[in-house]
Amino acid sequence: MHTIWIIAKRELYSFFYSPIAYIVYVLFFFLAGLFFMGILSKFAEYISMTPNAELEHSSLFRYYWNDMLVVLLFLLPALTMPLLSEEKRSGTLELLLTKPITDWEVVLGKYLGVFLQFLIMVAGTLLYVLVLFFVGEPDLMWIATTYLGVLFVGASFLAVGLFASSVTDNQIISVIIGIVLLLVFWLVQFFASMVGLGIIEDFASYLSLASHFESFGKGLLDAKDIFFYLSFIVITIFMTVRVVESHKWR
Amino acid sequence: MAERKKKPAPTKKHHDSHESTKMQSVEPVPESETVDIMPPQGNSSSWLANLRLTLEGFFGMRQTQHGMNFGILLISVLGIAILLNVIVSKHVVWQKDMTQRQLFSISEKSIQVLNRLNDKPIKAIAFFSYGTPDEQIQEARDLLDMYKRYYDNLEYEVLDPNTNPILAKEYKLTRDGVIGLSYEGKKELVSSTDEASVTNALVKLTSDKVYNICFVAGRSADLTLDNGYSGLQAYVERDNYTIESIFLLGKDTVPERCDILLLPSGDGDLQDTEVAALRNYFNNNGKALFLLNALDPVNNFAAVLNDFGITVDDSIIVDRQAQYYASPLSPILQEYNSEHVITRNVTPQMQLNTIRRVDIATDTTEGITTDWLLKSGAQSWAESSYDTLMNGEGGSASLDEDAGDVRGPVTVAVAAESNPGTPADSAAAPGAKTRIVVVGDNDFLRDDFIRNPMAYPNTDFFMNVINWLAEEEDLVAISPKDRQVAPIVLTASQGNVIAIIVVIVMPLIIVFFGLGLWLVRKRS
Repeated sequence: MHTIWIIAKRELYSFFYSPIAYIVYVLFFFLAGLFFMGILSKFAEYISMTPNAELEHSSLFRYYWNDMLVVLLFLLPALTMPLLSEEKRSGTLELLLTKPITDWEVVLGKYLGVFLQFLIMVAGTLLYVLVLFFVGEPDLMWIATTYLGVLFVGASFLAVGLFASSVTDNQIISVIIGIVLLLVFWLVQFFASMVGLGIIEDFASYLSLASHFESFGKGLLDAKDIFFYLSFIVITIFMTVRVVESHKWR
Repeated sequence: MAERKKKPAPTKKHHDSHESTKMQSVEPVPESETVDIMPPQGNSSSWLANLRLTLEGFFGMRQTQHGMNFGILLISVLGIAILLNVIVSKHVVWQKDMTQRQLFSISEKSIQVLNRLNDKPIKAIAFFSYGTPDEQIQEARDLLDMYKRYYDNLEYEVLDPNTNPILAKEYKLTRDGVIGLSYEGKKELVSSTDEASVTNALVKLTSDKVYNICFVAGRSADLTLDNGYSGLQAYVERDNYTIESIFLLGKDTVPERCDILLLPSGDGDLQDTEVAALRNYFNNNGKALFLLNALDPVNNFAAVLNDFGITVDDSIIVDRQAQYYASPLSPILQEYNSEHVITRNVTPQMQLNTIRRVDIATDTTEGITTDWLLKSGAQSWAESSYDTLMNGEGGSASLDEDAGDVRGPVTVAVAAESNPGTPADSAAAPGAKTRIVVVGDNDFLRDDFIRNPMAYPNTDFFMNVINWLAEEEDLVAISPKDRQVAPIVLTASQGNVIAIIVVIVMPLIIVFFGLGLWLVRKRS
């Protein structure tokens, strides 16, 4: 555990000395702010123009994160792209693997490091929650549940991004692989519904990362959604560890 | 021809690093040890042996073994994960609603109703026209998702009735923004996107009982079910009721097949025998909707309704400011009781004409619960003098409280319900209820009103009344969710300040932080 934390800290520090961090963060907060203002204005207008409108203020974050998660789908692979691919390219991965640390510790350490970077991004959006407390009457537990869903989805995105980073030594290719994989898991439900093949459509819908976020957006904790995200993250990390391990016998 | 030189016999030579790399001849291998690569034709066992060797060589490679281990492990782990997810999704139905007001979970009562459906398929269609706000459609989706979570065999979709006219006709749709439910060949329309309405609709779909509405004719020759109220038939049949016309004149009892009575006023008042029949009917937990127009004789109606703490007087509502058809006698109603299930979701645009004041008696009647449903505006009043009104449609009438006028808002519709087992001399079975709704107008359900597409709130109100009157004893009341109606207080200047902070200031803070860190690093 200590080793994992050391690797994570190292990743975090090196991230904040890299210009990529600031490009990603500035882009994220700029878009996040724009989206928030757009939705806030739309809510305020709808409520003011519809007599007795029954619109829950807390549902604002549900709609907000439905849009922002698509932005993260493109941004988070940029955070994960150097984690393993840069190490492979520079040859430091082999060196790292010769150290007395396990492959799991390497991967989990890097994952934890990038997850902390993501956590900082999400923490910045709590300012918008504060704004809603000033202008409306939000339900704190509902919003907290929505944010828990955002963390689960983000963690899943990061796991896929880390896996993509492990299969290539080229960062650009790593980003592309990550985005493509995430798009597949985000849109699989949509494509399956176009084909419309009963049980296959149900299975594909279950695999969709987007479909499991819906309950969190409504302030609901659902066992099947939590289990899905946890198993998705574990499987993806497992695959990443196996890919890292394969460097020893290739 | 020159003779070809014979090549010398091959001799053993030692390899020397300085020698050329020309291939050296080797000692021939004894025949017994040779293995032909290309077996002679027809020798399959040799070919198989070679294949075996090739495969052994391939699978013996370290990379292949590691790769296969990887693949097998991955498939095993994926298989276990899929299996566990299937088990959890099908058998672990755990869900916690974290919202303060439990907005996205259905009640135990609704779950009980779903359990009675015996896992048979239910189809739900939410009809929303193009242009409906997303929030409204999402509300319907959320509602149906709630039910789907507990009942797998519910399928729903959102459709535009304009592009699906055949389906709209099948459900006898008169407007959009409604949910159509279909179960075992029966159809039910739900006009309100709330749990109580959907669950009650499900109860009706699973119930074999068909409620019969009896239109009590005889008050006016020109106002009968077939002439003047014929449009109601389509609405009631759409919700699995039947309707017929009966006469109570000369009868001392209401026919047993009448689950609900519909009593419009007319040129003549109730006869004494009719009054006795009605009292007997209500003593046996009858249910009725009274439509008492202003200017009609209603003394005997009033006597029956007085038993339930409902007062009916000879007044007419006048409103010079908010009115339909430029007539002060067609006031726009301003207040709809949002606490009562009948009026909670009715669009506040009902169109009534020549309305009588109907109110709750000041002395409460024991064992009876009475609620107001509709009120006129504060600027209106109940005019007690018909003579004044006869002069030019109320144009010269004015509020005169000393003369008996009642200042607005004035109640024009009420609902009364007896508590189970009362009145004390009731012959009703314990748990049964008498329910009565009185509206001070009989025009709003006439054909010339309800044919107007904009008058759909009139028929919505009517069907809500019928559904409330028909409430079965096992249809327990489901409390409506306490929905939020507070505004988001955001002035233009506040909006600008917030926009500047979140869109510009926050990203700039990050830029400056990064620059600061870079400068510190550069100096050190």
